[in-house]
Amino acid sequence: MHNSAALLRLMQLVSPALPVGAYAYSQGLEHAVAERWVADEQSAADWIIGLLANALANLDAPVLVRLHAAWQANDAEAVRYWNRYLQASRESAELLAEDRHLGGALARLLADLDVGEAIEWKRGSAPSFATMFALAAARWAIPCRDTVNGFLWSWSENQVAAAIKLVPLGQTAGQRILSRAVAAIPPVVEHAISLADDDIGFLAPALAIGSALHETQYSRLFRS
Amino acid sequence: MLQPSAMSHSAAAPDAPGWMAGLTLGFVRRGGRTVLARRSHYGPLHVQRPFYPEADRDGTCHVYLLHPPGGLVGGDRLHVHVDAGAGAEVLLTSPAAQKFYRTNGLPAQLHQHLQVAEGASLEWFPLETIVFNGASGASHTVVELAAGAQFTGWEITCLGRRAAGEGFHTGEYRQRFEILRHDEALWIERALLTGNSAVLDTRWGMAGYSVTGTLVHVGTEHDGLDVIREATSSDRDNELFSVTKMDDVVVCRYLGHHAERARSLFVRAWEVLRQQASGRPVCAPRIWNT
Repeated sequence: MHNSAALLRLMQLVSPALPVGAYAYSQGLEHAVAERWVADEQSAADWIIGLLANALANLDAPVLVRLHAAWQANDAEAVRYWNRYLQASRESAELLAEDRHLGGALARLLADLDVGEAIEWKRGSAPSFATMFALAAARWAIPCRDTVNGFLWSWSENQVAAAIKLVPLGQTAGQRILSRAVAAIPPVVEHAISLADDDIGFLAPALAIGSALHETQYSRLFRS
Repeated sequence: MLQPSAMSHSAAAPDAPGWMAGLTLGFVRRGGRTVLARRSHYGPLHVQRPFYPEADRDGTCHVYLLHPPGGLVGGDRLHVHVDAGAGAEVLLTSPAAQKFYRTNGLPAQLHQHLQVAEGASLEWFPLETIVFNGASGASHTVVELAAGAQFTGWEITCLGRRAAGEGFHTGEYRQRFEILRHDEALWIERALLTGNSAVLDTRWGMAGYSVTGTLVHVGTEHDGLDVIREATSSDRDNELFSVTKMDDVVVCRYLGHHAERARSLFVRAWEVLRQQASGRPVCAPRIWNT
């Protein structure tokens, strides 16, 4: 990335301090810890890196690639299509609610940062987080690869933060997992860019079941 | 039966190996009863004569889908098209598991297109699909719903033949199951199950289990998830089962080792869903008991 303004905008977008409330969601990790599917640094890393390299690689990341292109081309129909595709692919009520909550929060924030079309778009249908992330990236001239790299890093960072609280893990263990995620992300981005439309989507059965079971879990810190 | 090379309407290349088979069924509501008004087929795909086993006699039309070869080998293509016309009530099932056999290199493909018109109800309950070690298969099921249409359906997939000591070490199974309403995606599930890949053994994936199943239902306004959860309570040491609802799509999922167990849990969910959707009790096809 040679454009400093774009790089700094990407850092703003992927910062854990971005006020959309992502810290409140564990995406099924809380249930995995409650069931002892994830119990230490190794199993937490397997969970996070595994989902990154399989589920996000085949669903969220390739859809983000298409959303970014659609916003760049001002193709409202394509944005709508891929936004719907992503929400139709969500595995549970909680994961769908999370996606819409974060997407709505980012839309409001972007409106305050002079990306006003976020709010206009939100009136038509509930935006996914990736839809608004792609809008910000397109308007702030962040190239596609950097956008997807940043999105996946931000997801990994949030999962590591949840694992530190839940397992629990030390901060250094968390940084080791994040370092492994950083190594795993670039090939995921290339995969996402090369994937055909018909191949987009990925079922992780136990994650899907775990996140649905979390909806009725007795004791919860996280909203997903 | 014709080889595809002898068929003028074959979509495949003229010299493509493998069998082609297709089945088209059209149901309409006529005189207070659902009838199978249109049927056509090519290759080895048939139906048995429709019957009406439900308590009210004129209720849901039950039809068994028959695929005499019992499975698909590399290069085979099966197309099933079902059209449930306005107000029709249809239940489709099969007397035997579908099988994807070890491939000769080419993938085998199963395409199923299900259209449900306004006020119609389609219950789609195929027996399980068994994917043999070394198979290469793709299954694509598209459900198109009109306004006010109801659909309940499931797909149950067994990887390898565990009872025979066969795992799923090589091969690939791609599965796409989607529901559209007014040309818009309502629900999409796409599974990519590859022999010896992470998805088979990891805790987020198949977690070492060999059978995965999904039941999906659209058409009930009433929120009765707790009743379904109660009816399907399961033993978490040997299997996983969940119930959730996204907008108006109810989804139940099974992960375990037994296709019959998946079906019996799904039938319990179906009992609740059908009661809520139409106030009628279920009428489980007797062929499931044999």
